[in-house]
Amino acid sequence: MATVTAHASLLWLLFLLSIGPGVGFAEEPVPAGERMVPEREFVAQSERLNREIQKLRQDIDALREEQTAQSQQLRTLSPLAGRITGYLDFGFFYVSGDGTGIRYDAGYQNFPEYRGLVPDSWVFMGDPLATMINSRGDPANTGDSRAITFNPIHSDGKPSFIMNNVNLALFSGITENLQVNALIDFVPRGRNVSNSNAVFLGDYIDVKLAYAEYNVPLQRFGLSLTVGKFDSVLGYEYRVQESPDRITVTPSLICRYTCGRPLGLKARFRFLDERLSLNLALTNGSNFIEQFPIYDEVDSNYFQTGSGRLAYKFPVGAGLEIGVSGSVGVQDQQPSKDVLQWHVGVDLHLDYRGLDIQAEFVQGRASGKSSSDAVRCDEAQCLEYRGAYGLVAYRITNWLMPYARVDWREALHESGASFVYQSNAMRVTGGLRFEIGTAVILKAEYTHVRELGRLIEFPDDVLVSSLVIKY
Amino acid sequence: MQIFRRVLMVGFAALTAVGGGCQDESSLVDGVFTEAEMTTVRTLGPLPPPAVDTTNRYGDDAKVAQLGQRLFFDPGYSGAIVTGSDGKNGGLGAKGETGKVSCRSCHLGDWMIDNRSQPNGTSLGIDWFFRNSPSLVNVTYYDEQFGWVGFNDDLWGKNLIPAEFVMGTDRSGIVHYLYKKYKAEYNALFSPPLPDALDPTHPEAARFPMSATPIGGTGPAGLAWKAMTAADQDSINRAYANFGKALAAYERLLVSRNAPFDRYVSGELSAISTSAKRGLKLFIGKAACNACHSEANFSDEKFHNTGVSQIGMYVLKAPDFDPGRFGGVDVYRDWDFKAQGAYSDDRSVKRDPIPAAGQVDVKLKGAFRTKGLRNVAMTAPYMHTGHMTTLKEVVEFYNQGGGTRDFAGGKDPLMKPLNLTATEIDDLVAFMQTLTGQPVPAALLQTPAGL
Ligand code: HEC
Ligand code: HEC
Repeated sequence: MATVTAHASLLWLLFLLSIGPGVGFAEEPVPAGERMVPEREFVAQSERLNREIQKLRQDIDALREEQTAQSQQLRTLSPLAGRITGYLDFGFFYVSGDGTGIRYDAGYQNFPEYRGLVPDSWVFMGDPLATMINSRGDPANTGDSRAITFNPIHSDGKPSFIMNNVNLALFSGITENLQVNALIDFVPRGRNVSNSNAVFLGDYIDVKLAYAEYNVPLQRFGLSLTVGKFDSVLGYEYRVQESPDRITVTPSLICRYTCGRPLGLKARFRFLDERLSLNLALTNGSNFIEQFPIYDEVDSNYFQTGSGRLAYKFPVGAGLEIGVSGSVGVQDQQPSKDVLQWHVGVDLHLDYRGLDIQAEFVQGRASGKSSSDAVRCDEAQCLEYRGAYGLVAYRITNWLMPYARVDWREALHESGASFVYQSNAMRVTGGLRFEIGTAVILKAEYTHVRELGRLIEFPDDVLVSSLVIKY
Repeated sequence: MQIFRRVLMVGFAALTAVGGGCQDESSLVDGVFTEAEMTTVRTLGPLPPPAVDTTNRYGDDAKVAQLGQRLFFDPGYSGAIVTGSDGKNGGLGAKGETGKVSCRSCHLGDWMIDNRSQPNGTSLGIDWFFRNSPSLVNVTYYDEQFGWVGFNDDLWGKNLIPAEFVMGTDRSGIVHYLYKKYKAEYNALFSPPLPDALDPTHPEAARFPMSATPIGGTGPAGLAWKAMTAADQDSINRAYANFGKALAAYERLLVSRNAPFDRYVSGELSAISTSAKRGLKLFIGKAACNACHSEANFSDEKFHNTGVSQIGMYVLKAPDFDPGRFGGVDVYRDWDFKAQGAYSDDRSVKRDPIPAAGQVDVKLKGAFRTKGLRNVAMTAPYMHTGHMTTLKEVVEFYNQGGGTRDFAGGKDPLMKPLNLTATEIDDLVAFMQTLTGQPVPAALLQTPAGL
């Protein structure tokens, strides 16, 4: 930095010099009244100036050399230079109602079958994650939710600016075929520092990815092996979930099942000129996202989860990719190895002349475990879900991309007397995405949420915007 | 490019502004409760006048209540003290002394609690008892379960437990005392009159031993009872039942209504604070306290294991801890004074069925009756162990999903962590503080003349 400033001031100096004398750079001010300068003095002055220019030129050369040496030094000192990238995501959001995607069934008016089994205030209608307000999938407010209780935003239905995250992507190529990757979010959130009894929940760090990948040098097909905490292999959306990559601001309603980052081993095969790909993973737990109540980072039972995806890319436009994926394993967050959960899904992605289409359907079930007929799912939660979304985006110019998404999800999540979630909702999202240069993206979208079935309709529409700056 | 950027910024700001215009949730009662929530709130208050207790035909007889008050304050019938005063424990006399313990000894002050015994968790009468003394204010609002574990299913019958269990006397002793001190009052109020053979100078005085009870087993009192004729046993039982009914008639007057909460539900919106309103919303919402603390007395009168640890010097300890309701059933299964017993004035009333011996549901191990919460801010310490001294401590206990160790049985499925914030805990406490009703009339709390 110091050298840059030195450069600038030198150039400024030269510029002033080149304009010529009398512009305030004379060492001795010309006495008033002496209009005519004798020739002898003029020559002397010009010689002096020439000498000065000469000296300045030498200075510049010296500084240049110094700078080159310094930057070389710098390069050897920090091997990561140029390998740290990341982004900053700043947004504004407003969620109507109280900011939550749930209401409880006061007086069992809609779900009388839970009377005597679950307190009415623990019978929830809706989806605590329906009011996600950023790419991370953070809900504006979880309110009185019992399954999802992590509530760092806690908007209470008020509009707010939010620094969604400062992201850091670390990449290091150890050898030609071996790489180490990490993706870290720094998440600035408030906390009440004056309350010494409170559970402190303030700024936090979220290590989203941390893995090593080895590209096996093979001739006939491509194979890479990954260990660590890596991307899920299910569906398509997980690949475009970081805000610079994501077209929309917010995740779809099914992202919670497919966008998780489990721990374990992964193998990725590519055949037929990369058109056919097969991903296989053995992980501690499901591919659910961390906010979701059924997720293990460290395993809590004896069986791992196996998952896989088979996809084929047809040569349509920049590619029409169709994939099928699935997983099966022991339900996370409970000790028994005989409580299984499974998930299946199909996905489609088309990139055709500025048109981007994504569609996915998923279905899954964790059958849970009940200690008696009277209390259901008290030993292991029961979850059943189906959901889908379709996203169409069109790049009108190289900087403007309007998009629309429709998503739907139906789920029943039960845990003994502790909670029931009856979810059935459809959302329609419309938005605009602006790309300003290569580093800045601005997105704004509105999502209308509509509760279906026996659920009551309540205000939980979401207005969000996000300003993403990559570095 | 510059202009383009500016347009974007304006657009961003405009979208921001649109946010404020969205519609909010439909009308809330007092800005806090939905209509459905208000319906639930109305099940909790206002507290109505007590319902008639048809099992006690003297329940609302003012004269009987007056006698009841005397009997409540009279220590004369209590037996010999086992654990005397050591100058610190609040003991009621020296070891061996008699006539020192009245009902009032353990149900003291305006709110009829024990703040005398030290340590203050449990009560010291004749001897240490292993549970805390509950308030008797509003005790009449329980319909069918009395005491921490449901020692009886009617109030008057419950009043007969202390004499035979913690006051060092028994039913025959009580009836003799009634004859000695209250014969005229008794005979004026009840019929048949007390048998004259209760007079120790009566030629047939031997028919009524000074100490006799069917629960005396093979001890002297038990054998003495067995030696009595059925008719004489019935005479004792009837007079003993009336003793309980008189006490109950008095207790039915220990009513405290019109708490700020009741006034709030009746429409006086400023009767409780904003924090208390939030607390009420939590009570019936997020914290689901009303899953057990329901109805106007804030008790479902069912038994739940909340996992209260057996903490305190005189509570029941490991390995069995306090069996709670599991053991409580046995006390009145064969008790003559239950609602469906011979001395009840209405045997048609519905009560929880009493399971046969050996058939008590093991889920009742460590389960206690849901405590009513009226006046709870005035009746510390809390829980059957009396080891929690503040309401905040109680709410923090619930926030963690109840206790984790040193209690019998397994916890109720409703005992789950609540994720309450520090403010929400304070709000719940603020709400419970609005449950303090008007004080009981002073005359009912004064020792009657001559005692
Ligand atoms: C040694 C102190 C002591 C004395 C003396 C005493 N009690 Fe109590 N009382 C208690 C305790 C402790 C309990 C709770 C017992 C239990 O449920 O395990 C209780 C419970 C009660 C209850 C039930 C309250 C409820 O919440 O259901 C009533 C009614 C009652 N007592 C009345 C009386 C009467 C009437 C007398 C006098 C005949 C009396 N008590 C004497 C300590 C005492
Ligand atoms: C599962 C049923 C249940 C639920 C839910 C429940 N309680 Fe209780 N509550 C009880 C029982 C049973 C007792 C008596 C426990 C004991 O002494 O062992 C009790 C006792 C209390 C007491 C002590 C009263 C006294 O006089 O000693 C307070 C205060 C209380 N509860 C408040 C609450 C609050 C506040 C909530 C909600 C956060 C709540 N309870 C939820 C069953 C319940």
